[in-house]
Amino acid sequence: MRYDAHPPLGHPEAAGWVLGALDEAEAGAFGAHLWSCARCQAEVSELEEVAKALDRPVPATEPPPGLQARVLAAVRQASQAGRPAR
Amino acid sequence: MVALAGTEGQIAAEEARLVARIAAGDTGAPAAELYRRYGRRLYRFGLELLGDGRLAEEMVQECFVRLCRDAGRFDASQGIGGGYLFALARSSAARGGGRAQQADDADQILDSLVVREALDALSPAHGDVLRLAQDEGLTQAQIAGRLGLPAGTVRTRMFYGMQVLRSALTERRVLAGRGGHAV
Repeated sequence: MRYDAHPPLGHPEAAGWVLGALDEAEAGAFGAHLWSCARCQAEVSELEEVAKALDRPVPATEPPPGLQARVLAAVRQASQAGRPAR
Repeated sequence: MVALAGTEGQIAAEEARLVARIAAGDTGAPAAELYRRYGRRLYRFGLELLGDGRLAEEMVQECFVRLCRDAGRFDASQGIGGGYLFALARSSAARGGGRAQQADDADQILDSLVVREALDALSPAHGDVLRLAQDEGLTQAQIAGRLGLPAGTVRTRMFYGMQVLRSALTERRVLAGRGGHAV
């Protein structure tokens, strides 16, 4: 039986399961195993958090090229302003 | 294969050292290192929370200035720089009437930013498999056909990729718990 032994990091099918990427037969077989396997249920639950995070669109915009220099200059200035004069 | 254990402790220790150097007045290289690590994520977080590039830039700058100013007030040897930066960002966005003022929503935005960064950092071989499943809704068999790969290779790459993303998400949450703030 394919799901008898647990690989250390879990069954590879768990990733396809949470992404909805298994075909019908694979999903059926893995689902039947999942039904009675607490370890795989925990694994799937953690991977579902990843899938949920992937699902939410977030900005992919790069910061403007000059931002780093401006930030570091502001930090330097604030640091000097906050120190007692020698 | 996947770096899981020990990473969070190492990052927390590195950042405590960076914060300690900033507290001691060395703002140059340590601040640059924190910017390298978190500048992009912080900017994108600001964009999502505030919906405006100019405001996001101001927020990033304000967060770094405050981190450097506050580093000397707290126990620098315990300070996780990234955690504090994002705590400042949330408070700054809430004050500025950000779109996502709910803490849960801000957490979800951070989760998504971290996971997308981890996806972008994967090799194309692993990243493409995940993108085709996630963004185009393809099954492993369809991905195998599209990329001309054996189905077993697609399954393994998808598994490996998801483990790396999970590890990134776990790391963020562990560091958030340690510092008391979301990284």
